[in-house]
Formats: sequence, structure tokens, C-alpha cells
Amino acid sequence: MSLSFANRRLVFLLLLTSSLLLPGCGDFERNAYRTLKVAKVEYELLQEHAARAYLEGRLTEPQWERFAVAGNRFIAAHTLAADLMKTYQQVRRAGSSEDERARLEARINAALAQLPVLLADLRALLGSFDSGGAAAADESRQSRR
Amino acid sequence: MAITKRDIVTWAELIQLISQMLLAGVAALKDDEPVDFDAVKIALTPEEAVRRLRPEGTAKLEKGE
Repeated sequence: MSLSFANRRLVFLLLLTSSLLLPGCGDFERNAYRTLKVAKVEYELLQEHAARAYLEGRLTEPQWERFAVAGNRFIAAHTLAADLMKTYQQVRRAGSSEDERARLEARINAALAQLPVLLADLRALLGSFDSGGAAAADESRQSRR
Repeated sequence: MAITKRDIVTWAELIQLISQMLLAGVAALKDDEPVDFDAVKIALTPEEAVRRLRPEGTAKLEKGE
């Protein structure tokens, strides 16, 4: 009976250890990669939505230009984060110091943290066009004629 | 301290469970392989997105949709 209890405790410890170790494989790079991948997919959906809205006349020229400026800002931030991650990989492979890696990780974390904020801005911008933009787009279309 | 039949079953189940977890872990890692930070960059700018969609969009406008 006591052996069975010991077994259960061992099972629990092994499960706990493996559940902690499995996600620990290359965590930082993988998490950064996933963040960038998800941000990319989300941005591309927003961009396509905005581009279609513009081409279908639901966004005015100035509205589209505002979106394009914010979109390019997002792309720049995303590209910067991806480039920093490439540098991080090179630094890791070169066996650089812990300090250097930690500094780079801090920069990358700051760059990655910007992405959801910029995406939220883009979403809010599109939302503001949707709510107040329909009338403006009608006016714009009529003035173009 | 003799090993009972129950102990063997417990260990067999444990080994099976750990191997399943390892396989699931490897599958999850494979899911994202390879970690290529060039491939994950956004290639299409807003201007290019409009350019690509334009014929389709223009056609819709002409149809009055």
C-alpha cells in the first residue's frame, strides 16, 4: 500500500517535471515567433478589410491614407522585431554572453509588446471609420462626381 | 520489497503516458517548424494590397455593388 502511494507521488512528480520541461524547449524564440506569426495574420486581415473597403468606396481617400500610415508603422515595428529575433539567433549561436542576450531580449520584448498596441490602434481607427465613415464616404463620392 | 503485478501495470501506464506527452510536445514543436524570422515578415504593404485588389474592386464598383 505504501509502495502504491510512493508510486502515485512519483507519477505526479514525473508529470509535473515533464509538463514544465516540454514547453521549456526554445521558449523565447518560439514564443516570439508565434507572437510575430499571429500579429502578421491579424494585421493582414485588417489590411485586406481596409483595402477592400477603400476600393468599394466605403473609406474615403484621407481615411485610407490614415490607415496606410498606421499600417506602415505597424509593418516597420513588426519587421524590426523579426530582425531583432534574427540577431538574437545569431548571437545565441555565436555563444555570446548572458548579458548581451539579456539586453537583446529586453529590446525584443519591448518591440513585441508594441505590436498588440499598434494593432489595437489600427482596429480602433477602422472602427472609427465604420461608425462615422459611411457618411463621409458618401460625401466624398458625391464630391468626386 | 517485492514488485507486484499492480506496480508493473502502473509503470507501464506511466511510460505510455510520458511517451504520449513527448510525442504531443514534438508535434507541437513541428507545428511551428521551421522558426524562420524572414518568412514571418509582412511582405504586403497597404499600397501593394490595394494594387493587388484593384481590378477586383474596380469591377465591383463598375457593377454598382
